[in-house]
Amino acid sequence: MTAVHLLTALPCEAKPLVDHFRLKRQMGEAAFAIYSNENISLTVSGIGKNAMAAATAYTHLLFGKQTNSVWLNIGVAGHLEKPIGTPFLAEKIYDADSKQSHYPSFVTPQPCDSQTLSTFSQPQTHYPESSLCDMEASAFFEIASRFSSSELIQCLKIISDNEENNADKINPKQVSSLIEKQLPLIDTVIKNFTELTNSLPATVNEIPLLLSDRWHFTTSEQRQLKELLQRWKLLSPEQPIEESSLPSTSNRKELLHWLKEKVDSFDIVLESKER
Amino acid sequence: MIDTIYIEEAVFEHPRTKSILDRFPKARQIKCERYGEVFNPKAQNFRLQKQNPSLILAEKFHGHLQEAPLGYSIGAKKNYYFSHMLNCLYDCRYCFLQGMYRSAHYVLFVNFEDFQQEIRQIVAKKNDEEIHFFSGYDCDSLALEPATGFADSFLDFFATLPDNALLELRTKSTQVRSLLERDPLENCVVAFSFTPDETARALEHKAPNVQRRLDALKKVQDKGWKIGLRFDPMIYQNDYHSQYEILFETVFQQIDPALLHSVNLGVFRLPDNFFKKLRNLYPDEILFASPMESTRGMMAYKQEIEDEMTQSCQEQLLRYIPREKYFPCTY
Repeated sequence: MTAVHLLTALPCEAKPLVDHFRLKRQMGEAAFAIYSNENISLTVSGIGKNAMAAATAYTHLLFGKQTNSVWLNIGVAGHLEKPIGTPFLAEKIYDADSKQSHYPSFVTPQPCDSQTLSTFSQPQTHYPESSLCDMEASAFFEIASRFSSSELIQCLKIISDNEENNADKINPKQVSSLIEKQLPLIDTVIKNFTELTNSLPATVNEIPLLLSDRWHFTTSEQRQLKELLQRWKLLSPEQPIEESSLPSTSNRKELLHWLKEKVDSFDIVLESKER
Repeated sequence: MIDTIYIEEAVFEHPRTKSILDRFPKARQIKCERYGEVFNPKAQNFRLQKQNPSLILAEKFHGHLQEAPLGYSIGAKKNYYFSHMLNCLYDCRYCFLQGMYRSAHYVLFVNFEDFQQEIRQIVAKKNDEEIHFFSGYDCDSLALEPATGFADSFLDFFATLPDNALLELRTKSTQVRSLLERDPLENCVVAFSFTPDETARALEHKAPNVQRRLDALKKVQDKGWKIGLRFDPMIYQNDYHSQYEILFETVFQQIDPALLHSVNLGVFRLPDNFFKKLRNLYPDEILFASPMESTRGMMAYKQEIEDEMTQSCQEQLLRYIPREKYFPCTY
């Protein structure tokens, strides 16, 4: 199940990632070049905020609208003076058009330095005083945070140009090389995020057949039932619901009442966690 | 401990900001316009953020003081609470803050003096009427004391107020040095919160254990400060009766009745929407699988459990304290 979504603006940014993660091109996808393996997807958006916003939303839909996925925008960026090849995570993403700022949350250990990242609609001839600059990050963050939580969304940018080495001097091969050199760092960032998302517990999402075969629940009843099953699982994990113990009623409300009475009668023993 | 600090641009030069930044020289500093940009966005997961919260230094412009909910009292008719800080260093699973805020970051309002000015205005209006000011409502009053100097500042301030204006510091912390280094104030109560050891181990993550809290309480009491005891929330478990019996016995062995100001007791309850959010955040938490029911928008233990717990713990408590020092939480 794909839980990590990588987005790049350019095919040359994507290439080393496709090779490294052994991603396969998704056939039949014409709007964007999309690659994936079992756990990771990679979408190449094209340049600019609109393209990135569309690609982020498209990726979310294509991979099943999962919650708590990891979203990572990887690409190159400019800076007034930072050396070419230096990687940075975005600590603040400033949209130069809307003047709005976004703040990814830093929960996991950070394997590289961080900087403010400003996103512009047009290529910049002058670098901002104290931030990285790109053309996609604010749109990426804004859209990705509709689908996941800000602790699981990041932009990793590698300096490709500065005042001494202007953007028009770089070619796609050099961009690929800059990304390729940071693959160990990218591995670490993905590993940290994956551990973080795996720390979230699973909940009861399926209603067992022994119940759904006999009773047809409304949406509201399904919600109540899942809550009761979750409580049952927590309070009496050793004693699953057995068909023979179920009441003979065909009335759904009576069944829910029976379940509630049963769960309310379980022992409550809080689990100690030693400090 | 804190590796990222967001700072509102307007308070960047504030002396309190500078002293806090000096305490965390390695922390990444990120400027923001208003703290809400970081604290309020919808796409945040309290549970994930609580693994490594950041500090936000901000300024509070209005609403420094709020009237306390009815039933939130330790003897005065007029009760106010104020929050120099939002969120707590500790991670108590029953805490309503998890339901109230989207973010687990700590917001510290550095303009203490504006809170103090509003307190002074309220006190001036009420003449001799007893007024209580609660500081540990949206945070622990002392947990971040070495960095914030909150108690130091507010104790200096309350020392200038008449005795009818009383400050409650509410804490689970052992950060009591600022109290031990000064003479006790007549108009301050240092209130320690307790649950039985088994509950604390299961639910009060990152907080000092019961014995360490008691050790801190003892030191504060020996220095002559008035003490409060807060058994709120009471948490239900099968063995709750004997657990609270042991807790009360352990605590009251240490208490000097002459310095005991007040004791309160309140059963676990949360507004329905907070409870729902907490259960979604922690579906693996047994506390939220307990037998609860919603009444008038509040989720609490089933009435028979609540009544039994209240009666049992109240009876036990009143063996140790006079009734006039007992204040059940009824809000």
